[in-house]
Amino acid sequence: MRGVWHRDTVSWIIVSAMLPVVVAASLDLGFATMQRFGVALAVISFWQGVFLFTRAQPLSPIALVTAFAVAVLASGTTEMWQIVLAASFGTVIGEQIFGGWGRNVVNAGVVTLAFLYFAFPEVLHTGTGPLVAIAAGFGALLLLVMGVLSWRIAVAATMGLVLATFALGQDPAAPFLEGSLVFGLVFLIGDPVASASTRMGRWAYGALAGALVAIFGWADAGIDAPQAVVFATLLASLFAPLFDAAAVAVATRKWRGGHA
Amino acid sequence: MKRLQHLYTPLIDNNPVTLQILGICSALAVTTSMTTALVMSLALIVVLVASSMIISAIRHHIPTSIRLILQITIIASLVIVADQVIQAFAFDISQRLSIFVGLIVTNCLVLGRAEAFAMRNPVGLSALDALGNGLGYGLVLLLIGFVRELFGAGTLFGQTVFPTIHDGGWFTPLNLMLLAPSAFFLLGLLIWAIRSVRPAQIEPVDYEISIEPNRRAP
Repeated sequence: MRGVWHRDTVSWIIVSAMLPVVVAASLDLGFATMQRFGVALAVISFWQGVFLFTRAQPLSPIALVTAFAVAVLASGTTEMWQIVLAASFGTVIGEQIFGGWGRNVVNAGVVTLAFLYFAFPEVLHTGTGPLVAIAAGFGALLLLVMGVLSWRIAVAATMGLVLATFALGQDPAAPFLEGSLVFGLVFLIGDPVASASTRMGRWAYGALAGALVAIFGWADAGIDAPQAVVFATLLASLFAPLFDAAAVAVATRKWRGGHA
Repeated sequence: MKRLQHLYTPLIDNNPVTLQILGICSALAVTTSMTTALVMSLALIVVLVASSMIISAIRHHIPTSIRLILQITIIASLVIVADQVIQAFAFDISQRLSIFVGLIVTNCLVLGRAEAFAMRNPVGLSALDALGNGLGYGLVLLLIGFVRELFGAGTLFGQTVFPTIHDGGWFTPLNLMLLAPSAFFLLGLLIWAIRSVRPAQIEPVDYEISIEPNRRAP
């Protein structure tokens, strides 16, 4: 079985984990989601093609995941040129210039969505209902079983979210009924590339991301809005390398016997 | 003609902003409109040329041990004069530039040219070098200011170019352009473009990621 686990296996697993969400979201949000998905996918594929020819960076099916995340979480965007602009920015600046998927620092979908939210603040985005949350839960199960989604990140993020929600005096069960929030928790915060990759780093990263979702959600954007989870992921994934470096430094110190 | 090299190489080949990555702070802060970018560039050019000439003129009399203090004193005095002139003749622009004219003192570009060039070269050459670097800085500021003001507000120098939807036109302003991160992105894209055209500017890589053709691990 050696040689099966290469980059695109992982991205195909993420794509298949997303299938239940695709069904749920098309029931919940309707045709406009598929339209956004199609435009985003075309734009991302175009840029993957450009970088394939200019820099020999292989194509990746992760384009499906990025495009779908944009389609679901940018639920208020109706102008397609905004999707074209944001997806170009997100995929080129967030992913392709670092060498393609697998080498990026932040998730391309998160960059695209943050661009949309910042550049067009007048567009109102609404969250999705519990159906998408349940579907994302099934996707999460597949990802956990396959080891693509780290259980440490999943547990830490859930704990961080619940504890911070509790600390803010809100109902800790409410976030888990929000489709966009659970979707973001599984597919954005749990993104295997942009998240931390050491054990301790994953605990810290997950807890930070979860707590940020709660803070942004309850105190600013609204827990039902998709903004909270996107901004939380953006910030947390910038801290991920720091957590990893700290975890490596602590481990190195231990090996050297406590003085180094 | 060789003297003129000092004037034109800092424009693109040795641009203080895009190659030496100096003066970034002000390049982010004052480029939301062309007017502020232009006034800031002019203020910097005046301060840079004057300080370089003064420092170059007295370079043989400056004791090495206190040269930085002396350079800063000269630059700071000139900055105060420039700031006062802008306040006197263009008060509203001075308000929009807030502290950034005053912060020319700490602009690495000014001290950098004083220390690296004016301390070792005659007055005429120092003036040319300072003018070239100032123009290079101004060029980048105006380019970024052009894009940010045009796409962020639909105007250039405050004159409407694209009528925005707020005024009944067709153009949706990109609010992101008026936020500081967009200047970073634009500067990054500009540096990318320049280095694609002039590969000589690309720094050597710090480390190479080896890619074996038969390795399929992620």
